Amino acid sequence: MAAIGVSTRGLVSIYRLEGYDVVALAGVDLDIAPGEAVALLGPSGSGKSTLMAVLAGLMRPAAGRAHVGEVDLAKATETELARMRAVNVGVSLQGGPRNLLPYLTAEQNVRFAQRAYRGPNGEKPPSPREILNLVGLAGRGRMRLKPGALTPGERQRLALAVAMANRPGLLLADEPTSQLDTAARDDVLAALAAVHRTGTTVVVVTHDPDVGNRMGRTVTIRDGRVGGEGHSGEEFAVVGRDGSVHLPHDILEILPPGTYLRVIAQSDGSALLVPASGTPALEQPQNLPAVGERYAPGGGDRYQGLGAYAPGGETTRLPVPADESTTRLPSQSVPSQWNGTTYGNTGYSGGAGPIVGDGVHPGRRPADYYGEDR
Amino acid sequence: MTGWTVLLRGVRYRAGRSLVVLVLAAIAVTAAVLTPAYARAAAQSVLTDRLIAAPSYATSLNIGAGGPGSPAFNPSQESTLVVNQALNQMPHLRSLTGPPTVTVETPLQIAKGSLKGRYVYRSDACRLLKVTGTCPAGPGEVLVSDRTAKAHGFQEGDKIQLILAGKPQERTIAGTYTPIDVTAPAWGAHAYFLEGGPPDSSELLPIDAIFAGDEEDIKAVPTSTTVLMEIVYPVKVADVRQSGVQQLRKDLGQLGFLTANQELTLVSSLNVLLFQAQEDQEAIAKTIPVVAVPLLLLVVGVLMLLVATLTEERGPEIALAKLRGYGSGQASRFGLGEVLFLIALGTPVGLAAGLVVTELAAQSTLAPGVHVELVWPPFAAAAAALAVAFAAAWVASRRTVRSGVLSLLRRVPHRTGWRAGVGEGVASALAVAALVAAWNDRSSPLALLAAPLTAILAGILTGRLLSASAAVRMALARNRGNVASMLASAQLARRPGRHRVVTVVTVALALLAFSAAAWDVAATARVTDSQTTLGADRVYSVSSVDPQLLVSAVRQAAPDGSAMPVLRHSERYADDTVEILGVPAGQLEKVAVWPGHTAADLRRLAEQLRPDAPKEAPVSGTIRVRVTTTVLPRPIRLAAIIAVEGAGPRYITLGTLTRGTHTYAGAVPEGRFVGLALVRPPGETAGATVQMDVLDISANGQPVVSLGDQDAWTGAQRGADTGVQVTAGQTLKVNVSAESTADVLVSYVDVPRRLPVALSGEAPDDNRSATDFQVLAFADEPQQFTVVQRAKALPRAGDHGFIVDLDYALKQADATSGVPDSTRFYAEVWAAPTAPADLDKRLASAGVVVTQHQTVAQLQDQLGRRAPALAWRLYLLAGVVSALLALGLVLLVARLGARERRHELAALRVTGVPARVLRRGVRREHLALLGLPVVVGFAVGIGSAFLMLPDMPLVNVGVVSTPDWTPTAGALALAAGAGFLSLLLAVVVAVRLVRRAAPELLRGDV
Repeated sequence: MAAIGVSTRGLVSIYRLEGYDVVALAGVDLDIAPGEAVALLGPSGSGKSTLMAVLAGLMRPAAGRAHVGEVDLAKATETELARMRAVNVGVSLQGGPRNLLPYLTAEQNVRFAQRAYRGPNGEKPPSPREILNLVGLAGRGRMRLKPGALTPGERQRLALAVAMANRPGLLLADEPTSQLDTAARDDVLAALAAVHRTGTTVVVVTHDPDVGNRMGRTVTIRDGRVGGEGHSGEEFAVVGRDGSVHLPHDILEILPPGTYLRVIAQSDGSALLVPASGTPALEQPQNLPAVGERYAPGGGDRYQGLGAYAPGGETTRLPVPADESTTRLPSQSVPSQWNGTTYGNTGYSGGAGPIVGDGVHPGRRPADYYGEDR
Repeated sequence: MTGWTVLLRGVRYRAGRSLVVLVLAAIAVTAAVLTPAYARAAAQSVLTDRLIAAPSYATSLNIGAGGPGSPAFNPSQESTLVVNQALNQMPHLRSLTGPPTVTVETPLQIAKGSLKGRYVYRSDACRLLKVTGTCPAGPGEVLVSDRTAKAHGFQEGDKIQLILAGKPQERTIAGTYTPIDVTAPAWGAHAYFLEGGPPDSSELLPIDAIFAGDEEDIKAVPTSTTVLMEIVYPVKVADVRQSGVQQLRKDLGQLGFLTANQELTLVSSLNVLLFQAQEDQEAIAKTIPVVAVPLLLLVVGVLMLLVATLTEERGPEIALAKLRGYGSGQASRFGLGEVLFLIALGTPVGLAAGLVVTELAAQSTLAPGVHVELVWPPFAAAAAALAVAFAAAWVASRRTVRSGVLSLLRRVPHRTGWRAGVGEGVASALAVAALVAAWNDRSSPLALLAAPLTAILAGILTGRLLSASAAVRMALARNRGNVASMLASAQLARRPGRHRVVTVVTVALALLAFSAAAWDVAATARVTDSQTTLGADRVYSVSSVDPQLLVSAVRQAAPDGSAMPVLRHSERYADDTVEILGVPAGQLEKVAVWPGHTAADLRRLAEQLRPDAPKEAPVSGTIRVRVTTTVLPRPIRLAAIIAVEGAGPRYITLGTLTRGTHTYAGAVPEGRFVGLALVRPPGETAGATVQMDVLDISANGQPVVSLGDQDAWTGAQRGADTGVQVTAGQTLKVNVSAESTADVLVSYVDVPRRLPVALSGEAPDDNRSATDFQVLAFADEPQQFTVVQRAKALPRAGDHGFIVDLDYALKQADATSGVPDSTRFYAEVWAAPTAPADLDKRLASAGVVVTQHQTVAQLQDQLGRRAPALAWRLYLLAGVVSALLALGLVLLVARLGARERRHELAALRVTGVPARVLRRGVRREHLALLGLPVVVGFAVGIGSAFLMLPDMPLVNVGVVSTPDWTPTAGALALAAGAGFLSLLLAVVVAVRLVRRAAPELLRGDV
């Protein structure tokens, strides 16, 4: 299958939860070229998983346009969307086991995913062995094992294989490396790279910046919008079609919400953001969220500075606190039994944000996951 | 890899729950199959029972002719040939009939000894008789019974002079016989064996039948009007199937027509019996909807719950299928495939189980020879069950299958839709309507559904109530910090589908409780009915016999008093029948059974029925009466009244009364002195005044009676109550002031003047509540009775009749107008369980022929196979199936949610909730989830039984009786015990979840 590109314009997704309308995507403009490998980054609840669900045809856009290849996701019928998933788009859900039928072997799981395939001109799907080989599970013994008998890394790679069962032009993978140790993660990344090498467009939702770096291009989703992009290890803010720019969190500490900014265009094509004096927000620092409750993954170079991407290619650098560092989740509240790999990020700042996310998060009520009826 | 591979691997992966689904589906189909299969077998059973219970002569084809010029005087072979030809035109009837027996008979008299009897030719006589000598094979030869030969001095080889139609005929005694079995059905209704009976009004003594070797001997007098010929074709009643009943009726009609053309008369009760069976069959058919409707609703409900739960459980897998591009049809097939496969697999299993259960029920509870019939209704029911199951599966899974991938993956529970609310509303409205209908008229069709609909209503309310109360309790528990209560309440209030489980369990338990209560009440009613109907453990009906002979025969057969003679007489009064029973009151306690009454009650009744009375005055030889007469207008004869057993009072003239003191004497037969009579000479036209003093009454030198007992003496003119004053003392002073010409009686009364009776129902008197009444009972004239006890029902007399002491009744009859002809009574022998097992043989040897014998156990067995009992049994089966369905559902729900629950509990343990608190929470949750519906279900079931049973036939079709609610160790107790144990087991199993909810579980979960 030829690689498939993705294009969204002003994509809005709204869903209803607990009687409230939740805006998960608030105007996403994104172009992914065929054959590109992209990582969608962003804090929990930012909307990246929702974006992936929309691209997989699992959710309908509330507004805006979204195209996957030639399929207009807003207009396509359910049958067309199903056919798209059967032929063009492979989807790997977060958590390897969720993608697999536990009572089928690895090979049978791949075959299960191929049962809906209706290739052009009666074309047959590739053999399961070929697919499993792509993710490094082609060993005879492995193919006949059921998911329960595989290691977590193998299960995740099998999930990728199932998503790639029909050799789609686009692979959407949600957190493929979560809950994995380093070696397993590397195996998964290798598998993703292998998939990418076959020409398939790969879109990965991840919290892991390393994974993002390995993808070549990162797109940061924040508050339902594309908040930034990274190319070749360099991060950029993205000016939205409405002229808005998402400032990085660390900059927000300097320029908290409500700050009056004077935007001064420079003659060299760049722009300066100058806080105006008398800004109410600056006089009420106690309103700011506590730093220690947030987690900035990775740390290091990425957050040493962010710039507004200027058309001329030059960046106006803003001052960054020297002692800004990563802070991990306090672990004293976790019982001793809970000493395995943790997942899910933090950055959740209370009840204001979207509450549908992709993991277990401190501070949330069970009802937030299961609904009030449970 | 085919879809079947995925399906089968899924089934194997979920082996436990697959098995439960398979079993539930099989039970559901069993329930569907059971109703028509059992109803069919039950209908056959009542038909077979009716036919088998009837005497063989009633079910036989009896083709007869009689009188001069009729085919009776033709050779019987000719008539047989005619009937055979007619039968050959009716293959169905022909296949049911056996070889015919020919009987030709006429009355005979034997001049020697003034004997009368019947002269009989039977084609099968020598097969039924044990012959000493030769069985007659030619003309002029006869067989005489051993006891007749012995009694009247006949011997083999003797010439015997028979008088046929007034003309003497000489025959040779070829041999003597004894019937091999006098009660053999082959003898039919013919009373052939009457030797020893009392003489008739012409003083002719009955003898046993004399059998001829040639039918022409019977027709020796061609002008005889009493020659009867009968060709009896026995019908193989066990082979009569209900499918052939219509053809059988048609054939009987045709046979009657064809034989009538040949001047032959077809007599058979077969058609009437078939109609009676049809009444029972219709009653069973009426009960089928009452059983089938709730069962169907329950089965559909369980299946829907089952499928809905299973498809919800498989939601993530269906989501995966959709994620991989499966179309809606393909995803539906994948999602529903397993459960539909299991239902389809369970269908033949359920069909087989239904047929096997029916066969077992048929063998254990239905009439002999009745088996499950492999006809189309059970198979159609199984197919319908499958179709309904598939439809229910489609409806139940529709929401899940239609859900989007993300909804399925999130597993957000569905809220109850408006359609479910509407369904519940309709069910509730129907239930209320049925209850109102039942309140007004329990026999209306809607009222018949009141019990199941009430159960459904109770189930819905209980489910809703549980959810609502759990929500309230959860809030309270949250405020109080009661974690266990909070956990239990949260599960009850928030778990999806909990209220449906509660509804189904409530409905199932209500049905079980109703059916068990109804079964118990009906079983008690059957026992009561059978005991009341018979009156004793065993009752032998005997051929008409002299009461005194019956009394002495019973005394001889059971000298320990474990059996007693009973005379029954049915008297019509005001368009109703009054059953009159004469029983030896003293033996009631030992022999009779009176439901609801103890031995002490019977003893008390006996004392009331037989109060002390003046001493009996036996007399024989010459009686002498010394009388001083002071006032005597004209000569009047003095007579002694002697009551001779079985022969009525004899007036023995002692002489003509004259003034002064004289002794009057006369020879009397053996009997009881019952008084003196002043016999007025013929031609008197006016009354008379007599004063006399009876100084002494003696016989054979001994005083006969005491003259000093005022209670023992009474005087009156015949036919009146007045005219005579009798004063007891040293002498018996008699003052007669007769106003009419009637004889004067000075009676010695050794029985109460008014015989005490126990009465059930209204008195046979203008005043229905009268205490004293008179009715024709055991004498030739009405006897006086007084009620000493009233009861709702009396043994054997039922709800309208009375019981009197037999001895007193006969003595009074002997002393007044005499005992009527024995044919007016039904003579019976009642036996206690301790009576000799061979009582019938003992009675036969004592001269009393037993014609039929019934036991309470037999009657209960028969009643247990009648329509109401069969319907109740079907209901009980339905109740058991319902309970099994509910149990299976509970198991399934527990199994389906177990994994998630373990993880939840493990997570709670990780957060520091102690295991004991979790155990307490789980225990509370399950006690509420299952305990409440069990309790409510039982309460509703028993309440429905209270409401409905008083107007439902419990024992006999169309007859309602007041239910006896006395608790018994029966089906209800068993059901309650099973329900309680199941509840305990479920709670114990559920609590074990906590043990398996180790925190380590979460490693694989996170």
